[in-house]
Order: sequence, then C-alpha cells, then structure tokens
Amino acid sequence: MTTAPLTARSRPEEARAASRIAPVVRLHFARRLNLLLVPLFVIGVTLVVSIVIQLAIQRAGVDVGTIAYAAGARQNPGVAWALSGYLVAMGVATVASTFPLAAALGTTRRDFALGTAATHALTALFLTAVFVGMLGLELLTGHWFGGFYVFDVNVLGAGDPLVLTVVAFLGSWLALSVGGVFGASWLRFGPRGPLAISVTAVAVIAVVVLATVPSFAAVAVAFRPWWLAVAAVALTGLSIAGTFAFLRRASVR
Amino acid sequence: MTTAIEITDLSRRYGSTDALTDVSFDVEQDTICGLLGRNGAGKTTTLSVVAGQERPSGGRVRVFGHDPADDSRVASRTSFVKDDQRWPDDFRLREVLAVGPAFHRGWDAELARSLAADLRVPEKTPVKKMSRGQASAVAIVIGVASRAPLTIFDEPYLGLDATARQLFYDRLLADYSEHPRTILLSTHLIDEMESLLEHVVVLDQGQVRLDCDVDDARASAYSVAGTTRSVTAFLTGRTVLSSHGIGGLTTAVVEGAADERVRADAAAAGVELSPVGLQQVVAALGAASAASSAVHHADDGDDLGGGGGGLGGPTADASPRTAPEGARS
Repeated sequence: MTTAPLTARSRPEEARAASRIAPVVRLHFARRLNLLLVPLFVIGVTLVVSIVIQLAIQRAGVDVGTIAYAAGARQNPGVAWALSGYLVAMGVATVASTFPLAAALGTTRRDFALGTAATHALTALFLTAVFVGMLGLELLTGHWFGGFYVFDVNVLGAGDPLVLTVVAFLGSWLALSVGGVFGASWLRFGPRGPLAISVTAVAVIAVVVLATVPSFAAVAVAFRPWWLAVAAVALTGLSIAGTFAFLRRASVR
Repeated sequence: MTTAIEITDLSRRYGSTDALTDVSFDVEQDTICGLLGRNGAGKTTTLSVVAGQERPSGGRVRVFGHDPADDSRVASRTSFVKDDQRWPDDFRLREVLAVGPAFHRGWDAELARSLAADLRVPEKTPVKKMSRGQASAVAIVIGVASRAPLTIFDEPYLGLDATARQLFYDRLLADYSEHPRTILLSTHLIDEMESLLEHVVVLDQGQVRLDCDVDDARASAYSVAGTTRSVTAFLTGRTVLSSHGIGGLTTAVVEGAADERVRADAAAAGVELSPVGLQQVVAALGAASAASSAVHHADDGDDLGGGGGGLGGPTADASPRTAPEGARS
C-alpha cells in the first residue's frame, strides 16, 4: 500500500497551483452589491445631503464667494465619515460570513487572510479612483455649480489630488482591515473577541493620551501629516496580521 | 493500493469532552467510504479534521501524504460543505456557480447547472434563506460538480425529498464511475446509501467500532429468530449485539460469521438464521455500545451477560452478552 502523491510537479509549481488567494478575491467580488455598489450609493447620498445642507446655509444669506465661506465649507468631513462606518462593517462581513464558505471550497486560513487583504486593498483602490474622479468633477464644475464643498475638503487634502489619493486609499484599506480583524476575532472567540479588542484599543488610546497630555503643545508643533499615513499603514498591517492570527486557530463554523 | 487518507490515533477534545479517542483508519484512493454511527459519535469532527477545518488534539492525520491542517496542497484538492454550512448573506445559486470553477480545477459547469435544475434549486433565493432541503441541494451541487480529488459529504441528504435523494445517489455514482475520486461521506440513511459504499467505518462515542469493506461488514453479524427459549439456548456463549422480544418470540443480532457450525447449532436449537444488512449491523453496534455503557454505569455491578431484560423481556431491548470489540481490520 502506498500513499497517494499529490502531483508530479515541482514544489513551487505545486504551491502556486494550490494557492487560493486569487479565488478568494473572486469569491469576495462575487458580492459586488455590498463591496462596490453600496459604497457608491453612500457617496452619492452624502453628496446630495452635503449639497442640501450647504444650499440651506447659502439661502440663509451667507456669501459663497468669500474666502471665509470656502474655509468653513472645507471643514465638512461628511463623505469620509459616512463611508468609514460602512467599510468597517463590510470588513467584518468579508471575514465572518465568507470564511466558512471559502474553507468549504478548499481554502486554507493563510490563503483566505491574504486573499481578503488583497480584496480590501482592491476595494480601497476602487474607492480612491471614485474619490479622485469626484474631486475632479467638483473642481471642474466650480464645486457642483454652486460653491458646494464635498470632496474638496480639509480631511481629504483640500483639493490636492495626491493627498486625497493617499487619504482615501489608506483610510479605506484601514477601515476594511479593522473590520476584518473584528470579524476574525468573532470567529475565534465569539462575542468575547470583538469585546476584548475594543476594550484593549480604548485602554491603549487612554494610556497614550494620558501619557502625552503634558507634551501636547510640543507634539502639535512637531506634528506632520505623514505621521497619520505611517500610523494607518502600521495599523492596517497589524490588522491583517491579527486577522491571520485569529483565523489560524478558528474553527470553521 | 494507494492510500488517500491515513488516520492514526486521532483524538479531539473540546474542553473536558472527548469527541474522538484514538481513532485510526485508512481510506484508499478513488473509493467511496461511509462514515457511520449514531449522533454524537464523532463523524463530523472526523470529517472536519480530514478536511483541515479542525486541528486534532492528538494523533496523526495524512491526506495525500500531507498534514491537512492549513496545507494548501491538500485544501485545494478537497471539497467539504458541512450539513450546517454558513453562507454569505446575499449568496445565490448564481454566485455559487460563478465561483465554483475558481476553486476547483475539475469543476464541471454543465454538470453543476443540470444538477441544480434537477434538484430544483431556486435561482433567486439567497442560500441562507433556502429551506433545509434546498440548502442541502446546493451543497450537493458543489460536492459533485467540484470533482475534487477528496470530496466529503456530511449527511448530504438532510431535508431532501425521496426523489431528490435518489437523484443524488444516481448522479454521484454515474459521475464517480466516469471520474473516480476519493469520497468520504457520513450518513444515517444506511439502507439508501449502502449501494454507494465500498468501505465503512463505524464510529461510536468517538471510537472506531468497525472498519472494513461493506461485504465484510454485512458478514460480520447474522440474525437469529425463534421462540425465546430456543433463541436463548442458541445464544449461550455467543456475543449478542442486540435483541428484540415480543411475547414468546425473540430475534437477535449476533456478532460473527454464520459459518457451518453456527448453521448446525441453529438447526439443532430450532431457530432461524438470516443475513443482516449494513443498517442492522450499525444499529446493533450502536445498541450494544449503549447497553454496554448502561451496564458499566450501573451501581449493582451487573455484568454484560447478566440478567438481560432483553432476551426474555417483552419489549425491544439491547443486551450484549459480551462487550463487542472495536474491530479494526
């Protein structure tokens, strides 16, 4: 009696052929409605709501032609925050509700974690392209033909497409990845997983804030925006690693 | 012979509960093996470990020569849709048929479509909202159409009507004949699926009770019937797996082959011998184990051969005279 050999191919060839990273991406994008279309809808609704609010402000007698108005309107972070909540929820769903099916179809935990990270990155790229396109439209139309600031806002770089690209991509990827690690912790530990992460995160933030309060003024002076980009990359990496770590020991259920 | 699955001294513990204890058996490549046993016997746990979806607490498992736990070379050749499979919220049949080929190189799209149509899987209903039978049908479509070198079914018939079940058996057997692969399936519908199986492993309380070819399993026991007095006389010194008594008549399933000596003894005792089906063997093994457990837990220390409400009793019973050994061939 002998043991069934896998294939006659070399080990790297075998590993490449066996990889399920690309199929996992395909599996995630089979849910186009949730992953791609709903974010577009959220962006559209936020655009309309922002315009309605700013139109109301204008009708109250505010002069849109002034520098002060532009500076105030650019404080509108609506489109960034509206999407981030949905992306975190989507990140949870991509892991928690898709992992069992991926496993059933013959996917290892490692390939699922990598495929999901790639899916999140691709989704973030898609949203970044949408944001850049919308900023272009906003600038080309003189802020939607009426001085309405939705994408040309401070939190997205105040009209700088390069900054917007970095913020939209890293922000989206981070939100999806954070959701992913919450989903993976739920698969591993049930409701205790997300709870433990939340408590730990709040505790870490509290300690950091309390430790840096005396130096706030100095930190504010020294602060550079790229710090946020580095922090986003670090947190995204941590989330992806955490997702894999939780999935490694998670039962498929 | 080539071995696809090797399991040696496998154990799996959940907290203080032993789901599997020293389970050992092999499955040859390109055969259909049935994993049988009562609820809670450890069938799904075994299937999950073989599929790499659960990690064992101890022992050794090799699938195609590799540890299946998180090995993409094994996982990519395995299909295992659980009986309580969780599905993404908005996944419909269309999405299933779309992603299947991405995961399984041998996926037959036409087979998947025709099977889904024959099993009447609704196209617009999310799988998560389908009835039990419809969801089982989706799992069957994936398992059969994947043509995965290791295809695992965990009670695939749940909720399916009789017509759909027969359709599944027929299509699986037809496709298996053309595209042989290793199929491991758990089932309680032993009579219905017996014709599919080439090898059986019977689990009970996390341990292997029987591991042999189907023909050997059938020949591993026989049934005896007659008056209670004559049956009792015949059974003396034999291992009774289960017995049923009604009025003055008793039938019993006895461990062992019905050889010439047994036939002669039966004739002398005036009892009737008959072969048993696989389902009877499995049911008798489960009943014997239950009776054995009950005896072992009894405070009066009564032995397996003691008393025996079964043989002389007026109702169906199970009372093994000797503890059947976990036969591993």
